[in-house]
Amino acid sequence: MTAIIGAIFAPAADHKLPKIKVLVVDKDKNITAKFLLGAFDSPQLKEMFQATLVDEAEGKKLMAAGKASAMVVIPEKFSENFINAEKSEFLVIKNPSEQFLPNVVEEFMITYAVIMSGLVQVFEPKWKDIDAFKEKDFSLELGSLASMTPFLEGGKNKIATLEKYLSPLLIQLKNEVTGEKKQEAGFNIFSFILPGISVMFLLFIIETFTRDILVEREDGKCRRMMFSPLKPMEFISARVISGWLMGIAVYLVIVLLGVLLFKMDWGNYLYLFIFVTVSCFWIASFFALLNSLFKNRNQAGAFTAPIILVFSAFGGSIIAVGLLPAAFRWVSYITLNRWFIDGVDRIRSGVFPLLPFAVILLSGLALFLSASTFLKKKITV
Amino acid sequence: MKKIWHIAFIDIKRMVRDKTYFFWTLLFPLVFIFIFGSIYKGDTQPTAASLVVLNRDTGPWGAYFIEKIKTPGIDVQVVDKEPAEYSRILIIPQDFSKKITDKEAQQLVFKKNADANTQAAAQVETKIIQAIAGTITELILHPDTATFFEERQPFKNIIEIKTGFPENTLKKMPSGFDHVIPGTIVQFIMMMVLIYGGSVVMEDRQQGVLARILFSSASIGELWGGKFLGRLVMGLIQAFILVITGKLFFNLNLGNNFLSLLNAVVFSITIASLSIFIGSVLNKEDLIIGISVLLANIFSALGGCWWPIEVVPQTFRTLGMISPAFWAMDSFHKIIFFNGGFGDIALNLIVLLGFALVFTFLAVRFFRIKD
Repeated sequence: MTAIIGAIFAPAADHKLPKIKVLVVDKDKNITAKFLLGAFDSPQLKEMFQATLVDEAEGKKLMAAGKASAMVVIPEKFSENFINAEKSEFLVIKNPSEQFLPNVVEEFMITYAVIMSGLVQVFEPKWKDIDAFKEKDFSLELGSLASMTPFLEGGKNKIATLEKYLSPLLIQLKNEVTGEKKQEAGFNIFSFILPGISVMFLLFIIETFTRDILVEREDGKCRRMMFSPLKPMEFISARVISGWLMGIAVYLVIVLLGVLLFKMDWGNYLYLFIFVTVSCFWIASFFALLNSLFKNRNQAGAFTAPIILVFSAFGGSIIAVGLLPAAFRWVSYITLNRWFIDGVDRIRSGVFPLLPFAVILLSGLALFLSASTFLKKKITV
Repeated sequence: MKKIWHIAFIDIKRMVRDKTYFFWTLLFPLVFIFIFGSIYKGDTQPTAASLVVLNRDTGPWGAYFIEKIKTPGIDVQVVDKEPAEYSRILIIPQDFSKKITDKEAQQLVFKKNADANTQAAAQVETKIIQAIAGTITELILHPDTATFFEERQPFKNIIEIKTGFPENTLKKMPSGFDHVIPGTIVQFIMMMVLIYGGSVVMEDRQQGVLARILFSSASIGELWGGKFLGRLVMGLIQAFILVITGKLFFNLNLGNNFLSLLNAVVFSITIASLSIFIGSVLNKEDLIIGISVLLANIFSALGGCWWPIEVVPQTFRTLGMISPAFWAMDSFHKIIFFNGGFGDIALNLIVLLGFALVFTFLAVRFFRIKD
């Protein structure tokens, strides 16, 4: 599953999302509308959008078939309104079956509208000097520079003023990423997915080993063993240790596969080993406790898989905790999955996960003691 | 026909009596729906993206700029010192006003927590860029900062953006649940029918139940038909439970209900045949569960049940066509979001029936009465 999810989203992780298909209907057919088409054709936006000029009927047909994320309709007389600083309304028809991409187009158009509105206001009386705006089907290739001269002359002062504000831009925005996952440079989608899926896998694997406690209780094997020199605590510890060791062994294979198949960097291997050891102890103790409480195998079968899946759903194995609704995020703290994923993330950032380690170790010991108490009663009474 | 119904009914009774049945058919899908539906909420339940603004500016421009950012989609919280935890923060420097007065270029730092929602971060960043564009335009129009606040001309939105959906489709923005529930229906039909359906076929064969049925007056065709019908009804029960839950609690819009039901029926037919095939060729329950979960998850991932298919690269969208889930999901999309009619989903139904034909051939070919 890690491989499938990773393969699907690996390109997205490199910020190469599929291009957003945008249909443009130009009802204005004048130079101002061509500014927008030119913008879509610029190198940065070309990486993001795939704009296609269509007539309205064809556009409607394609949108009704869901063939594009959005359709932008440039209104009639847009250029005329533009030079007169009068209001124009662009229509953005969004694909209703898509959840994100149409909103990107909408936000882009809102930003474009703000910038164009600014331009209109800055050069408001001067636009009228450009004869080209009055010509239908004007193109920059066919139009003469002479037609632009009155505008350039008249707007000279404005252009000089603009330079002070735009070159360099008076207010710039500098982006910084904070938080645990800020090491974007070596980002590997599998590193993001594997810890979550692997802890879910560990829960299932170790559970099957600790199920022996229940099987042996049901079969009466436990009571028979109590007639041997074996002490109850030794028997309980042996069962927990077998699940614990098996979990560690399985995780070592997962680590190895992560390195070989997914080229994962796990960080400090000693930290990882210590952390995985403690986590496997927690899981073994947790299921030892559950198996000491369950009455029979059917009850165990009915409860364990749902518990693991709920842990995984809320703990970040199925979906990142950061994406969960705020009300659910606190639930994640009572799951091992959350602490395990946090811990592995920290190890990968080169830090020992002290808090996750302490939480897992202490709660694991509490679970082990509880399991021992319950189990001792069940096998000795 | 009565015998077919009887065999099917027994299988369904066994499935419903399983202690975990309601967890798998109702509770677990509900957790899925609730989590994913809340993530992909859509605009019908707008949640403002939070932005902490640390305003260190000693002049009036910092506060003015903050007012520009305050739009309906952004929840702005102004603070005096950088908090320990935040989703995203904009830091306005101490000399912000001074540099604006001196017409000196400057940088605002926008910090985004990598663990927080990236969609909300992009939304906030876009609004900040729009505020920057608006402020610079006003400054160009009124360069005298001394009299700016008294005499400035406020920014006018000359160009307005109106949004809508294609004609004859939706009138209002679909909710996240409208997107998520069809995917969950498709995924859990696969999970339930493959796991329960496959396991029961295998158990019945190993315990000699199939052979004993043939000692009655039931023919092999009726036996096979009963098993097939049982699995078809299992799929429909799963779909029915989720549709009712969706309608009652999440105001689910299924478009044309009849066509959505038809889509669920045809999809269940496909998966019913596949489950008999799996139950016929595999001999261990654990193996059937493992293979079924894996197949259901692979089909779901490729078919667009887990995430919006639009963010998946084209290669994987094309590859997704090998998954019956893709055709069922595409069909749901056409019905729910594009108000599609029978003609629009006919191809999808034909392809699904094609899958059903192949799986039925395999299921009949490998169907065994005893090991």
